[in-house]
Formats: sequence, structure tokens, C-alpha cells
Amino acid sequence: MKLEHKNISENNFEQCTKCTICTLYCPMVEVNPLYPGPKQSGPDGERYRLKEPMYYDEGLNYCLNCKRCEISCPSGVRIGDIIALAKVRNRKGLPTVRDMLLSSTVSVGSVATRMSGLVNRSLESERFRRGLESMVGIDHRHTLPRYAEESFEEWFRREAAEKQSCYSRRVSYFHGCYANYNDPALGRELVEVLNAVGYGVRLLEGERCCGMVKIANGRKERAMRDAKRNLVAIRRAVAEGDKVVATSSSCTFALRDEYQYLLGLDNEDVKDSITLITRFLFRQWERGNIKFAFREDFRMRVAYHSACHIERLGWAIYSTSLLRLVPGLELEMLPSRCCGMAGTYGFKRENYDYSQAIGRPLFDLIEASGAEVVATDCESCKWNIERSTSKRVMHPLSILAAALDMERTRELNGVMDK
Amino acid sequence: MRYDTLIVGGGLGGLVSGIALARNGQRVAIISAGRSALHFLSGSLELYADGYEAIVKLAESHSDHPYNSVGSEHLERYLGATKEIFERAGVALVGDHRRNHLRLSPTGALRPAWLTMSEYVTFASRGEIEGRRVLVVALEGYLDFYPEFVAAGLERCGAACRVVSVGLDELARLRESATEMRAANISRVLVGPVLERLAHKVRGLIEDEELVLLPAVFGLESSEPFERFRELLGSDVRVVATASASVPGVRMQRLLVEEFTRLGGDYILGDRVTDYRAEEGRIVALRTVKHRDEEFTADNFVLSTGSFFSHGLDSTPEGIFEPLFGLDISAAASREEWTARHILDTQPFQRFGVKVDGHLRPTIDGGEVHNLHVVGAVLAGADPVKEGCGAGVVVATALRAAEEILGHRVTRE
Ligand SMILES: Cc1cc2nc3c(=O)[nH]c(=O)nc-3n(C[C@H](O)[C@H](O)[C@H](O)COP(=O)(O)OP(=O)(O)OC[C@H]3O[C@@H](n4cnc5c(N)ncnc54)[C@H](O)[C@@H]3O)c2cc1C
Ligand code: SF4
Ligand code: SF4
Repeated sequence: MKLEHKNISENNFEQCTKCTICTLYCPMVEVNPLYPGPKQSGPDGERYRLKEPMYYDEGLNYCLNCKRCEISCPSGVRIGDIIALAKVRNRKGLPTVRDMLLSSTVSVGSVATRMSGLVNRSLESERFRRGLESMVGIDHRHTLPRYAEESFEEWFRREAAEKQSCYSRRVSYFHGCYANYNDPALGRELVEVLNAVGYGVRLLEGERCCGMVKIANGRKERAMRDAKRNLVAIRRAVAEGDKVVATSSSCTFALRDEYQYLLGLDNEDVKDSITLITRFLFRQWERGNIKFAFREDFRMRVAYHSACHIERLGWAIYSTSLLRLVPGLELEMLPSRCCGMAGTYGFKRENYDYSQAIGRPLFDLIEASGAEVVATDCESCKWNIERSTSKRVMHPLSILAAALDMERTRELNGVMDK
Repeated sequence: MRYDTLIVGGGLGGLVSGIALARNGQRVAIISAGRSALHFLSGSLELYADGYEAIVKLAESHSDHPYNSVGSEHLERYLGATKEIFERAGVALVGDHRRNHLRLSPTGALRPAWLTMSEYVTFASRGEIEGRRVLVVALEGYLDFYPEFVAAGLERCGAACRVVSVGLDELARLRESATEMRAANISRVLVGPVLERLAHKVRGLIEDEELVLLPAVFGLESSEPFERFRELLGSDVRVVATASASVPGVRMQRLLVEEFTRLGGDYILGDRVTDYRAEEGRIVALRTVKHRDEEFTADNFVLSTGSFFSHGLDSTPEGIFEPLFGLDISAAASREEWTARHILDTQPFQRFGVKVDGHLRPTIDGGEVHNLHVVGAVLAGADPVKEGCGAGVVVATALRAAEEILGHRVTRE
């Protein structure tokens, strides 16, 4: 082995040339002088922490895990991963009730959908939200996402599951908590579009929360348990020849990258089989494996917001390329910046003001744009932009579903109408 | 993913090529591992310290200089068109390639420049400085600006300078941060009422000075804060380059990226091209870290991966190499010959880089690569530090590559 290879550590921190470029792109540094910033929290701090863990700084909790520092670094330092790992390793004490609540997306979601009327009414009431704030510290100014009356899984089992075996090709769908409990329409659209291009859809057996929010809320053990179960389910689907598609860019990022880097799980064997729905569809279309027929009367002016984790995946091009296929759709690219929500981060009382300050320039750009609809692949950006601007926010897949002439698309793909 | 042209490297070279190609109807993607050298821009694009006329003579003295690969028949046209290219992206530049002007370095040295962002102080000649009354304004606690050096530099040319320092509570607060009082952090504070208060304070300090100089700490995203400041001050105010990351350089990068995406280009940041596939002397496809199960295919490819800072060139104790394609390079074989003893001496490694032909095409193990064009700082033959030719080489080669690919001219006559 050559000498220089011995000098490169797993997270690359010694490659840092101290150029400070990362600090220029950190959304938290922009609004919060108390945050030490990516260079200091990442490669600089790591040097000290390796010597002596007492150098761990609670200021690292401000980090949004947006990874915008990382994609900017000219030297390939895994800054965001260094910080996230330091948090996982050094966080002291148990997570608070609030952090447990916010990160228990499955348990909370399954109860909340069952009682969605009551839950939604309560969440709409400012008094209830003030109570929530004083009891657990979820900021009352946040409108919380509504819960659906019926989860996507319930709908799928009742309405769709049976028909899926008619299709000659098949994928498995990792719906994630958001599509399941808050926006089942997105899951239904996924099934509709995939069916129209000749793919049957399966759910993963025993899908758990991807774990992203649990990692962020200091619940590594729980995240690990969920992650391991997900990998079992994914491996089973892949062994049976399926690709696993997801609608959420953050879930996709977690399954592919955070499992590997933050949880230390080996997912190499299935990594290339885990993909975003827009990536899956565009690649199949480019290879001529599927065809689209679009509605002739479809018109929409869309501004695309590239969410932090799709930016980190490097995959925004698949969503925008898919949108560019739609005749009558005018696409404008919003300058790439964080909306401030960062999953559950913006819900917390201590973060609310920073979160809103980070998002403000983006919200202003959105208001000023001529678009009617903002497109984004991330559910937490969707909540946040919808509540902070006057525009409607849609997943690129939902736009595709609205633009497709489903009947002609089915014909083009040789799908029999049932 | 299929494109007409794929560009590796999203700095000045990649962006200028990309903008020219996208403007001419091509489907283009730029893939960039990280941010670029533009983040350290002095505010000026440099062409050649000895002036435009001297470039023509390079054909005799340095036959492998990138300006020779561009060709004198094209060079003048590109240089004449550059200002407009930047203007369309929202970057206002002053200057003329036929006549260098002088810019002021952070240490007060006067350096020849080709085009300079309009907020910076520039002088037509040293003679123009004589007798000028200049107020140099420092910001309390800000350490990347050296007002005494700046004043001394101007005084050597006969100016009369006075150095003052202003403080604002909002700026003092920045010192609490571990990211420190850097130009970028200051620029975020200098908006709205704080900007007005600074203007008010500075106005109160002006006596008989006709020129006011401040560090370049205005407007990370647009030039609007500086324009507002100038308006509020009501006298001739300009900025001077700071040490460390450059606020106007960051803005230039941002505006060029926005122009490229507005023209329909895909800018993929934070992904490294690691591998390629070639057939019969042509590159067919690229592979990257984050799209590893997907090939990027195109008819043409541009390499603008920069020099050592950006890892477009790399070295081990055994040698210097171009890490992506393993292109043939021009570099001294023995390590002793890479560097000169004193840091300010002419450093041989500055001229190391990728060898190309008259069409900016490289070779791999002596074999031609027909559809790859190499542009910018990764090229061999230029010494940007000694010759003062950094951005000139980058812009000229980037436009040449775009024309080679399109087969027609991209600039107006
Ligand atoms: C610190 C510094 C300051 C300078 N200041 C000036 C100045 O003030 N005026 C002037 O005229 N000149 C200046 N120069 C000269 C400078 O080289 C040019 O002006 C110019 O900015 C270089 O542009 P470029 O596109 O060739 O390379 P760069 O700007 O270096 O960009 C190269 C890009 O390629 C990316 N890259 C590298 N390898 C890969 C890969 N395998 N896959 C994907 N992406 C990759 C890098 O991440 C980087 O973003 C300066 C140079 C440096 C290093
Ligand atoms: S951008 Fe990368 S190299 Fe530069 S300071 Fe940050 S971590 Fe270090
Ligand atoms: S991950 Fe985001 S918030 Fe955290 S240091 Fe990097 S840029 Fe800043």
C-alpha cells in the first residue's frame, strides 16, 4: 500500500484544506452566529474529538443534516457525515418526550389516521398547539401535517393489491410514513402511473419507518432496529427480482446512504436496487421500456425546488428531466437552497425561528416566480413551503399523473383495460 | 442519461463553455465534484500581465501556451465578447482586452487586469493615482483586510490616504461566532437598516476625500447592497479585494450557474466523475460516484477540472497525473524539478498540465481522443501567477471548445 493511502481516513477529514467554502453554503451559519459551522464542527472538531471526546460541542445540535456543506467541498470531505456521526456517538441523555413523539412516525401515524377527524381538528386549534408547545416544545406556530382518514396501506390492500398480479413487470414500493399516513393520494398516484406503464406494485413485507427522523432525534437504537428490518424486507423483494422505488427523497437517501455511513450497515448488495420513482420512470422511458401519452390540454407553470437530500443524492435531474417531457409544462429552476424544515427540525420550539429565517429567501423567490405550482420530491419541504407561501406544492410524480392521458398510456404500453 | 455535451467541472471554464453551448440549443450537463476557484476571485479576470500584444509573441517563446491552441484568429473575438457574456448573466465588468488596467491586491500591490467587477477600484495607470485623496475604511474586528497596506500601496504612487475604522454592534456580534468575522458573514448583515447605518457612519468620516475604499464585503447574492450603499454615501466609493473567500467571486459563480440553468442546462453539484468508457478514440460515456449504475452519454465532452486546488491535477511522490482519464501531461519527471526553493520564485509546477493539440484535444498514451476538449486551469503551458493570465486562458479555451463542438461561431463579430 502506498504511503498516501495510509493517510486517508474513512471520513476524509484530513483532506480538508481549510478553504472555508463549506461555511459559505451552510444555511444554519447564515442565520445563527452560535452555530460553529461545518468546517469547525466537521473536520476541525473531529481532530480534537478523536483525541478526547470531551471536545464534543452541543452546538452541533444546530446542524440540519442538510449536507449542503458536503456537496460544496472541493476536497470531498464528508463534512455532514462527520457531524452526524459525532452527534450519534456523543449525544448524552435520553431523547425528550417531544423528540420521541416527533420521531415515532409509525406509532403516531397509525393512531392518528384511525382518529384523523379528532386529530386534525385538534392540530388546527391554536389552543391545542399552544398546549403542545408548553407540554413538549413543539412550536405552536407550526401547522402540523394533517392525517388521512385511511392509510395508504389500508387503501392498497382494499382496492389495489389484488389486481397487481395482472402486470407482467413488477416493482416494490417503499411508501414511507408520509405517503402512508399524511398523503395517501401520492401512493395512489404511484400505483396508477406504474400500472399504466405496465408495472404491478407490491408493498414491502413489514416496511418500517426509514429511520431518518429517529437518527436525527438521537434514537439510534430504534433507528437501527427499523433499518435492519427494512433491509430484510428489501433483500427479499430484490431477491425476487424487484427494484424498490420510493417517493420520498429523504427515505431514499436514508436507505441508500445513511444506513451505510451513519448506522454502519452493509447495504451494498441492494443499494443499486433502491431508487426514487422519478429516476426509475425516467430511466425506463429513456431506454424505451415504457411510453407516456400526455393530455393535450395540459398546461402548468412549475418551479422546481431541489430538496437538500435529492441534491445530496445528485438525482434532481431525473425529476426535472421527467417534468421536461410534459408538453404544456413550463419549467423554472429555483436556485438551490434549504427551506429550513429539515424533517422534524423546524417543529421544535428552539429551532422554529432559525428554521423560518433559513426558508425566508426561498419563500420570497417562490412568491416572486411566475409559477403556479412548486414541484419537490421531499415531503417536509412540501409542508413547509405550502404553509409559508401562497403556492401549491406537488410531487413531480403527482404532476406526471395529472398530465398523463392514462388511457392512451395504457394502450401504448400494451396494458389491457380492466 | 443522454446529453449533447457533458462537461466535467463546474468552475469558470465549465460554466463559460456550458453557457455558450446551451445558448446554442444544446442539451448540456455540468458535473462538478465541488465548488470552484471562483470562490477566491480577486474581482478581476486576468489576461496577460504584459498586455494583449505580448500574447501574440507567445507563439515563439512558449509554443505550448494555451493561447496558441486557441489561435490568434479566434482570440480577439472571444475577448471582445466576454463582457457581454457576463453581463447577460448579471455580472457587470469593466475593462478592455487591448489595454490592461490596474487592480489593487489585498496587500496594496497594483496588478494588471483585463476585466474587473464594477464595484472594485481600478486605475487606468499609476499616473492616475497621483494626487488622489483617498479614505480607506476598515471594519472593526475584521482581519482579512489590511488598510495600512492598501494605503501604503497607493501612497507609493503619490496618493494621499487616510485610514479610518468603523464599528457597528451588528458586526461586533459576528465575532461571537466560531465561523468568525469573515467577508461572507459580514455581507449577510450588511443589508437594510444596518447598511444604512454603516453608510451614515462612513459619510460622517469623509473630509476632503474624493475616493472611499472599503473591503469587498457587500452582496453575496446580488450587487444590490453595494449599489444601495454607493447611493446612500453619495460619493465615489469602491471596494478592495479581501484575503480569504471572495464575496463577489461567490456571487459571480452563483449568477453564472443561474444563467446556465435558465438556459436549460443541468448543473449537478457534489458528484465526482470517476470513470469513462471509450470506443475507437472517442469517449462514449462517463460514470460518477452517485449515479454509479447509470452511464452519462454524450456526443462531446469537455474537461474543465482545474488545477491542483480542484484536483484536476494530482500528485504522488512518484509523479504528477490527470486522475480522471489519465491524459498525457506535460510535467517534469523528477520531483526536485517541480518546485523552486523560494515561494515567490517562478514555480515550475504552475505550467504543468494536460497537453493538447490545436483543437484542444488531448491524448491518452499517445492515442488521440476525438470528442474530448480540455479547457481552463488543467491545461499545460501557462503560469497564471507569473504571467497573470488565469481567467483569460480559461475563458478563451472554454469558448474555443464550444465552437469546436458546435462547428460554428458563438460570438458576434
Ligand atoms: C485560489 C485561486 C484564486 C485564483 N484567483 C484568480 C483571479 O483572481 N483572477 C484570475 O484571472 N485567475 C485566478 N485564478 C486562476 C484560476 O485558475 C482561473 O481563474 C479559474 O477560476 C479556473 O477555472 P477552471 O474552470 O479551469 O477550474 P476550477 O475553477 O478549479 O474548477 C474546476 C472544477 O472541477 C471540479 N472537478 C475536478 N475534478 C472533478 C471530477 N473528477 N469530477 C467532477 N468535477 C471535478 C472541481 O470540483 C471544480 O469545481 C485563481 C486560481 C486559484 C486556485
Ligand atoms: S470546504 Fe472542504 S476543504 Fe474547504 S474548509 Fe470545508 S471541509 Fe475543508
Ligand atoms: S449539514 Fe447543513 S446545517 Fe449541517 S453543517 Fe452542513 S450545511 Fe450546515
